[in-house]
Amino acid sequence: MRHPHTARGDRRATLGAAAGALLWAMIGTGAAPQGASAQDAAAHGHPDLNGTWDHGAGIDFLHPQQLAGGSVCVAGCEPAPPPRPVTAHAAPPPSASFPHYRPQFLAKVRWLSDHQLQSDGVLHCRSPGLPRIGPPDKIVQIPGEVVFLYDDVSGAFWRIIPTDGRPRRTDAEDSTLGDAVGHWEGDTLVVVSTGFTEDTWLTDNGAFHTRAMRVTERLRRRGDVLEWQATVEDPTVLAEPWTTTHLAQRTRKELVEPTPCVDQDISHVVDNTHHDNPR
Amino acid sequence: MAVPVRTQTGVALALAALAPAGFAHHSVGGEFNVHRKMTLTGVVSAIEWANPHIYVHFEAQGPGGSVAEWRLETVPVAMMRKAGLTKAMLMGNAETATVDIYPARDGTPRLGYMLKITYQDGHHYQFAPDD
Repeated sequence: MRHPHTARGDRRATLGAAAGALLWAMIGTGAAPQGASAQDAAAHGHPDLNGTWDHGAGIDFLHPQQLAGGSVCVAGCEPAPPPRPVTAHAAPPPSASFPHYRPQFLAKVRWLSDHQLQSDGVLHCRSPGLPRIGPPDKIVQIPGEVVFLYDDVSGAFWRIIPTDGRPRRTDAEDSTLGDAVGHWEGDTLVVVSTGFTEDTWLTDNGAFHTRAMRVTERLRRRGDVLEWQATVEDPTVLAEPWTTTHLAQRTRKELVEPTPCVDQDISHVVDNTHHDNPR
Repeated sequence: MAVPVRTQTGVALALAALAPAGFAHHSVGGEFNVHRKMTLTGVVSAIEWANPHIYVHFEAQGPGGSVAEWRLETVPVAMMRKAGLTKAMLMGNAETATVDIYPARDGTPRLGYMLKITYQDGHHYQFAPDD
């Protein structure tokens, strides 16, 4: 049993999709949230992406409740909480899907998925890689560089992305997040990454890639919402480019100290069951 | 020593609320016996504030005044933070507390999943649906 929550997940996805459609419609009409205009001021001639961005981190489903006497219901709370207002991270990725593999690689995907408990590095506190790690949790934008910071369940990660036209590094070792170079296309920051190891997945369930993968991220700010889109090209194994999208909401919450990830539970799982681990 | 209080059925479905997405890592039912709920009484002695799961060290009282330390897995740090709970709050000022748990399926002694902790003054933190 890979995911015991299919029906629940489908309902959540349906509701989320409706919310997402509404939000995307707002973005399409330029109806930015109130109070965002000042933050849209151009930074060095480009949109200001600085700040902490909340994309839900995979726990949007959680609605903790503060109860009388200092009690707290973290999960399993009754009665069910009321529907949440539309926010960026209430919306699922509009284009979430599974990569389309060439037929000769489907068996490998299936095998990896069937052995996910052993073969998915994320379950063992290893880097989720790009694009599975999702949008950055914090962006620091300075002249000539943009820094992406990630507070992931697997640990803390960062990427330094030059945007001043300098040539791509020649000494970069292959890595799970690749070597990134950025440039601006109008109001969109475009980040192209290459130089990947092969030990990460694009998403759950055996979505492997090769070291020839090229990932193009496009980040565009609309008020207090950050649109993040990542397109994966890996033509040796993928029949077509695969695109995943997230929306992130600007938040005043600051990142806190990194939490260590310690792999100490998977060895006790007796029947190979696991949940999906999307971001 | 743990004192089983009753056998529970249908809990796996209720546990769906625990972690259907990104921070789950593994299914609770894959590691813990969701059909055997137990209750322990004792004190929290330490917290491993780590991902993918926080572990609570719990010194459980047994017969004749004996004490046995359990390691109780619970939710990830991001969930705990979203609920506004801290390590100090979980420690509970060394008050006596009771915990509802599921024991490990692989037979590892004194390893469990913490569903709920209730402190001596009556306040509690719930991590899974009440049955």
